[in-house]
Amino acid sequence: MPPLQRDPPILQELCTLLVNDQYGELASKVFSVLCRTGRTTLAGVVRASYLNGKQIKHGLVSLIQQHLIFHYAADPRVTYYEIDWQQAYSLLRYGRMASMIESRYGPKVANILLNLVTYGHARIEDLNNAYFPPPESNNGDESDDGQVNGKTSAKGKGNGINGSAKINGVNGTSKELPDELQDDESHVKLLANGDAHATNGHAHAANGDAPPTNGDAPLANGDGPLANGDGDVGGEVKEATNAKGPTSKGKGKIAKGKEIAIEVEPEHEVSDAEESENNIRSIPELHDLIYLLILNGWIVPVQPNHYLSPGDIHEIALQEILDGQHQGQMPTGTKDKEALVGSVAARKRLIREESLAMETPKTRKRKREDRELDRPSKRLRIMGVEKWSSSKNSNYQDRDTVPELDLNLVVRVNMEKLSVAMRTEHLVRLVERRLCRVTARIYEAMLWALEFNQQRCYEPWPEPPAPPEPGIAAYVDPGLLITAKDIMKVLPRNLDLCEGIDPDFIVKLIPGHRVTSKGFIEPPINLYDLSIKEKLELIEKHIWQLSFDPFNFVTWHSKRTGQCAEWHIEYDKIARIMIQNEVDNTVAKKTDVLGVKLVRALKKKGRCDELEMCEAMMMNSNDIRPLVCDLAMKGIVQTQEIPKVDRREAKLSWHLAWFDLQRTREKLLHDTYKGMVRLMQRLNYEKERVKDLLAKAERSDVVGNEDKYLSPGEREALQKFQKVEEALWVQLGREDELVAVLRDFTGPFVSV
Amino acid sequence: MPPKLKVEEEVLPDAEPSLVSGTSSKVDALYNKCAEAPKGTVFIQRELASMQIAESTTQLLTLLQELTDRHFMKSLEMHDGQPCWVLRTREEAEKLRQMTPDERLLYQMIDDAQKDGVWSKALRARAGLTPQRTTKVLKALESKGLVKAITNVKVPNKKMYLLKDLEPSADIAGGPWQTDGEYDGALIAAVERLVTYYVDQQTWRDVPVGMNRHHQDIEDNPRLHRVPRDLPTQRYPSAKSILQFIIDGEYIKEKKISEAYMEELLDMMTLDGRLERMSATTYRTARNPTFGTNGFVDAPCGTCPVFDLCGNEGEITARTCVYFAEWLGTESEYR
Repeated sequence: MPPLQRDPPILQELCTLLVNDQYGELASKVFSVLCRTGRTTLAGVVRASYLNGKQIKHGLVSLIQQHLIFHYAADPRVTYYEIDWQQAYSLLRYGRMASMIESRYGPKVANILLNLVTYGHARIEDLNNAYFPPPESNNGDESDDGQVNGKTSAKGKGNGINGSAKINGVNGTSKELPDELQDDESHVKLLANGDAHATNGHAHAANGDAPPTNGDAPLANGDGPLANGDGDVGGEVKEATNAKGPTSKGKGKIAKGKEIAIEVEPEHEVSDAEESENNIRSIPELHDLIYLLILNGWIVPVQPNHYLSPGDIHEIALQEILDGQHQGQMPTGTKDKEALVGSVAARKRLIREESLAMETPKTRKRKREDRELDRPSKRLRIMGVEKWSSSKNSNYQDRDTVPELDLNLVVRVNMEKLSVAMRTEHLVRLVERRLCRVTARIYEAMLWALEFNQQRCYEPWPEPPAPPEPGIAAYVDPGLLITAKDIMKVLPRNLDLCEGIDPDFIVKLIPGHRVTSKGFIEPPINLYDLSIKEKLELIEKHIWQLSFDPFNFVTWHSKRTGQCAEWHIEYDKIARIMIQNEVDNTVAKKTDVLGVKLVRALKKKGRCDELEMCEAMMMNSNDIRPLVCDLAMKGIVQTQEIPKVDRREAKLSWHLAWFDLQRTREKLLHDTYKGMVRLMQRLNYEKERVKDLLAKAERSDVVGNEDKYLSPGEREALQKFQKVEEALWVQLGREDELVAVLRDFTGPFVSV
Repeated sequence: MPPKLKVEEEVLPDAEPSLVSGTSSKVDALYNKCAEAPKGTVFIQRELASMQIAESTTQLLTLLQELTDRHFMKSLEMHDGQPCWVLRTREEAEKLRQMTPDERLLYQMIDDAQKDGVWSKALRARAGLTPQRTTKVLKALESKGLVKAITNVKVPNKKMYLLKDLEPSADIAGGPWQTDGEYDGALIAAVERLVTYYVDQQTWRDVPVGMNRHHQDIEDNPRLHRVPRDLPTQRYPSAKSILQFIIDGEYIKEKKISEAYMEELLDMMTLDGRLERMSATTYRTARNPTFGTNGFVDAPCGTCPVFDLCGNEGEITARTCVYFAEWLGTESEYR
């Protein structure tokens, strides 16, 4: 019997820890009650916990605001609540999301995103107010807040309450809260407790002001990280900027790679000019950036069906189809049933797409005062690449207009898009490892350009597979095709395209150079002198190398006459290879290379008895037997015993072993969750150990005056704790990357 | 077309058969004539007749029967049913003559199977002998140095017999990679090294990092990295070209490796990640044959021996973990 049956399911534990860490104890109590009971009503929650009704309502409202639970009332009198596991797990990823946004669109946009994350969802008008507080929106207690833009605090409490109250009132399309929770207004207090965690292994130094190092998350209560300009956008810095206090004399931390956290002094003295460059200066600029995120799918309008659990959506879609096409009866024939599955999936897709569709906002002519309204980053143009001109939003490219968003539009972040970005990042790393840095950059450019047309990594409700037609290649959405020409436009001009290619090829292509005995090109090729054709040839060469790699990073699609070849990327296949690759890595670490060899042999041959394994691995059975045992114990390969006669006798049985990628994937995912839980638990333990010190360091008079109030011993202990904390968060972020590979890039495989 | 003759070798009594007078010299003559041909030559009747020793076909057949009876010749049948004969050496014939009938019977069966060998159980069944008797007879044959026992690689507990001077067929002995039914690790490793070396040379090229920059002469040993050679995939190394390289270099003596066995080895090498398949028949080495790492296995939990025993409460928890303490440089709760 597994010894751990007394422990709760592991994902539940992980999510509860995450909610506790971000939204405090009450929210996590309610969350854990819902975890235990599953789908239930308010009364059910009350029965299952010792909290009183008011507390539970507070908890539920804050969880709903953060989209951590679904709710659905088929009968208006009874509302069911259910955990949104994906979103709950995603709490871990907000920091990563911000850093990805920053690397794509620049710090301003990342800042918007972080603010949105803090709110859960927000109305455009509330975002306006958060950035540019109107003079009359004073809530009494926050009169000191409307300072300079750069340091404006978020007014976590005040605006939060206002915001969601307004949302309830004004926005008729989406019913935010069930009636039974409507009376609860104080919920937003909890929200303000939220602070965006950045748990990212690939950290960037925070822009603007350095993030604070002292202070612990739960204590930052009341100060949302809505401060424009000094949100801790980057790495694993996990505390919200303590916007009220004089910010930070702390150190920004950059964690590179593994557990070693390198401390780097951030640019303390950010000049005013630089700082203001990272600030959003006007509402049109804000809208422009928000619209940019919407266009790229990072944020989506909130719709009522976002509150429906997958099960409810399925029921609704099924009922609609049954009512519409089958007179409310379940079809009986096999064919009809199959058709039903297909049409329900189609219906679900339709519901989703409808909700994501947003009409193109009104635009107005660009005015003179909008001249600073430039795109935040040069890299942004990667996203452009002729795609926009063909899409329906072509007017966005028009540099003479700016969008004006509907003030009542409610938006939230789209975590599915983050999976797409994480996949990109992972693929680029793989290429860097397998081929070369420059090839990886080119691949990155391709992936970034293709991201524009991808809302999610895979379709959870696909069409039923059509029988393959011979002679006809699978259809590829033209939006997912890309040519070397597209990439050339967005690559930095100083990227040395010659790197990573056989020099003999280069000197053949570009005459007048030769290869020295040491392999240098003599005289060096001036990148700026290359003709377009030569550049294209070089880029195509890189792409061919990607395509020939056994991982099949890109696939050739077609070549129109006189134009560049079109390429596409078979994400599903690559996702599978990536999973296998991670399994191999894990096995290699847990056992050794022989383990990987066995796994691959079994994958290739299917079910094998001992002799077949010996043949495939060219090893003697004495060496293989312990290996099979070991891997079977670790749950990586499965074993099976089939008696040849009607008795169970070892001699008269076949002993087979096999490997199932889906099973191993699930096992590894489970183990990874468990590893993450242990990291969080350890972090809590480490915090507990220095509880008193932390309490002191977070006192408002101590923050910022550590040198004055803390003894050298205390400072040292604090620093040591911070290092430990950072190592744990970095590790958590890296395990999260593994979770993404295992879980998010492709749907479950059908086991054979 | 000569008349079809079926000459069956009979089991004769042990006694030395008396030679029919007058034909004795002819028997010797025929034998000597045949012995001039290279060893193991198969004679058909036409060839024997052309030797002009016998006066008539009947006599020729009598002579052949004589030789066969005295074990100087072995009569066989060609695939189309035509009889044919193979010469035995005098010593062999002598040994055969000295055998007991049982021994001779088993010997012939083993001989018939040639390279494929015969399973001892099959011998027993066909000869209709008791197991003890069979074992005894086979032992006797072995001690006379006529047959040998080998193990079948596919079914290791099947004892196979075949003639002493024959090499077992690949089906039984398991091809060049196996010796006595066991995979020959040292040989395989050596060939693997050769293959890796060759394929590496053919598919990757070491060039300096930043080969397209002005380089200083001071850099005598610039940092190198590997770029794929400019080759179409069909021209990447295949089993054929790799084998050619090994044969040309004369790296392996005694064993002969065929293309199919080479393919088997290459297949195996793709499993542990040293080779990568580029197309149906061609290979390259992996640029980086080591395995990467991930967040899970880097943390102490990933390789923890008591991971499955670790719980929220109890002896082993995150609080009491010694590995965490070591990794973070802190102390764990003592229990």
